[in-house]
Amino acid sequence: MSERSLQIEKLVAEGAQRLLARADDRYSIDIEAVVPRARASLDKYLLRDAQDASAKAIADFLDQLQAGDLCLVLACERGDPSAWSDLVERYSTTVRSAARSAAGNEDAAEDVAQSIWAELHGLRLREDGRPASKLAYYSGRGSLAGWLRAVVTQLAVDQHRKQSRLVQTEEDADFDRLARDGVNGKEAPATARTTLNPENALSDKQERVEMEKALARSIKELADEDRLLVKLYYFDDLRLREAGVVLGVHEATASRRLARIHVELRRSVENILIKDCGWTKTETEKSFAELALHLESDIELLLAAEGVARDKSPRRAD
Amino acid sequence: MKQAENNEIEILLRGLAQREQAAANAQSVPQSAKADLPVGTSTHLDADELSAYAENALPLATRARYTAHLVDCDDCRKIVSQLSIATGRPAEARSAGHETVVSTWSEKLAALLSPRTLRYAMPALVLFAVIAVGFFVLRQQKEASLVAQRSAENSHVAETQAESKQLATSPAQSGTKTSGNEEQAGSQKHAKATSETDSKTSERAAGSAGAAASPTAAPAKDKESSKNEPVATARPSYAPEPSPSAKPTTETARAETAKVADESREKEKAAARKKEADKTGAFAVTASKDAPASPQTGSTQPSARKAKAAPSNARLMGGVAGGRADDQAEIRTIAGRRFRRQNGAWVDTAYDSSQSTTNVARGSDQYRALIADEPDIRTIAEQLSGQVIVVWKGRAYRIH
Repeated sequence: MSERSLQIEKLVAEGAQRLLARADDRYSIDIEAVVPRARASLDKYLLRDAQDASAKAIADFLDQLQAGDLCLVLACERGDPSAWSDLVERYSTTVRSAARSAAGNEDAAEDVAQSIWAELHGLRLREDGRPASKLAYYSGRGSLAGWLRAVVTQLAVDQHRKQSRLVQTEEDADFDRLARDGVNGKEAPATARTTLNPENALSDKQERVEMEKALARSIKELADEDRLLVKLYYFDDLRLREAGVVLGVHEATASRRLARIHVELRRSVENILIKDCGWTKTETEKSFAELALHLESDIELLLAAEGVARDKSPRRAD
Repeated sequence: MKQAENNEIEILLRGLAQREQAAANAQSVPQSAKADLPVGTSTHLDADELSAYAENALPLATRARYTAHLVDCDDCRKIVSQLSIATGRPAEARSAGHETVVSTWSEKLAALLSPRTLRYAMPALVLFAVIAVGFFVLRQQKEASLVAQRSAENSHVAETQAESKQLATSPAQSGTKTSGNEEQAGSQKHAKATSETDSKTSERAAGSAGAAASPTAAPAKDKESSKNEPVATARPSYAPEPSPSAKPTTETARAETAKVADESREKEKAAARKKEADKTGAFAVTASKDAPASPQTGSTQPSARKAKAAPSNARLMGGVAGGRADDQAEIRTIAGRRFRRQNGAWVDTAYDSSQSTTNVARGSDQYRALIADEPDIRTIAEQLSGQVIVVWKGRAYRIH
């Protein structure tokens, strides 16, 4: 065993001791149970991306683990009835709430909630004879409540997909087609308008295609954090506040970032159009203005046609 | 312009997002092949990773790796969004560990002096500096013009300065004859106040001499001098006449010194005119040359201060000596205004020497405009020949 490994082992053992000292000792968790869990968490979240992490960084990481939650989970895995009782009592509301928001309707939510407890308990047995519980995947890095919400959401998504595949009949396919038509119908007003207003034929021209290609390329060239913000705000239709929560920043910070991204994208698109497509600066600016004008009227018409414009616009306003 | 550009790019982004959503919805199979895999498999982030990301509980490098995944994986991104919003923790609190927190004073100072901040502060500072310099320059010019404007009137003061010296030679004559004990005390008091305020100038000598020579004006001005600057109590030769109570004594003094004054006046006028001819016209120069008349002034004061102090000296001494000349002046009343003849000029009795005057030449456009607006001034100007100083509606005009 290398010196580094020994150093890490030692740090993990010390960290596990501190973790137990911080946690509620009512479940009498053995340090032998904590060390592998702490080590797994360390490998997954710290050492994989920072192999030469300092001793201090490792110690800090271990000290940031959720001691109480991890001990509760370890006690549940061990089969401690009081721990299970505590787990259900503390988190049944969280599980139900997460299931309700993920599943969409009350019945499906109830199904998901029941399933999750079974999953947590472990329906199958492992090689050592213990139930293969999902709790084994809890690292203690985030809160147990957050982890449970994530598990519930994933389960709801999986169940939804399975159900969708099972009941996919010809009738559903028809509905899908109808739905698709409805979605495609989003563009119907634009098409209709194009027919009505010949000027808007511009949107179908080559320059529009080139501009959107340049924009897509420019988005790809953004930093990951900025791309994520663009995706959350424009593609997932989140509000700025919500996007900020996902990114871990304040709404105002997200707003400033978005303004900066606009400037960067604009510059990048112009550069691509000028260098790669041979546009002049004047042409680029003119096309920007014209295309934006047409797209804006497209969007307005689209929202008016769908009758959802007023529901959406306040979200955009922020 | 920038806002318009931002709006354009925003509209383009929305258009692109809409197009991609429509394209994704048009596919019969949800999003991609990997979407068929259960979330939580190796293709996607597992529940622990998702929740840790949503709670911002990951080291930076790991978080960056997951961010790169979330950008391209709609499923994981949506779950993370749901979890983050459901968690609903204050963003700043959660991000405190990862965002750069400006905590120390040096960092705060550096942030304050950062180019981002200074880009607004610097133009403001430059603008402020330009305004300050402009104000200073304009003020200087204004002062210079005011000094130049007054140079003419102060030349008369310079004339009387020499006269006052002459008068100072016989203080006992006038002082003892014209005033009682109280008046003498008043004059001494006045002399004391004067010497206290302008200790460095020749006023001290001239003031004491003047006070002794003409204690007549001093008692009347004592009140004024005690509440305001004593220098202001001295008036030029054409200043309004002293209070009636002081008049008899002034006349007595005049009788005693008239001869001496008349003789010396002619001499001093000639000397003063000769000096004026040598000067550039600005009173500051006149004063600085006149000031050495007092032995204490020229050697002890810097030239700038001398220039400032000297006019008041001259005014003070002129005022004291002028008290005599005033008594000889004839008085005329025109258009409800009283004018005193002083040194060849008709001076409105309401005129205060501290007032700034506007010079108006007879026959000039300005003069025509003035008399058109104020016909009474025309009457005054026509009836009084030579230089006339008239106070009209709070403003003083020198018509010449």
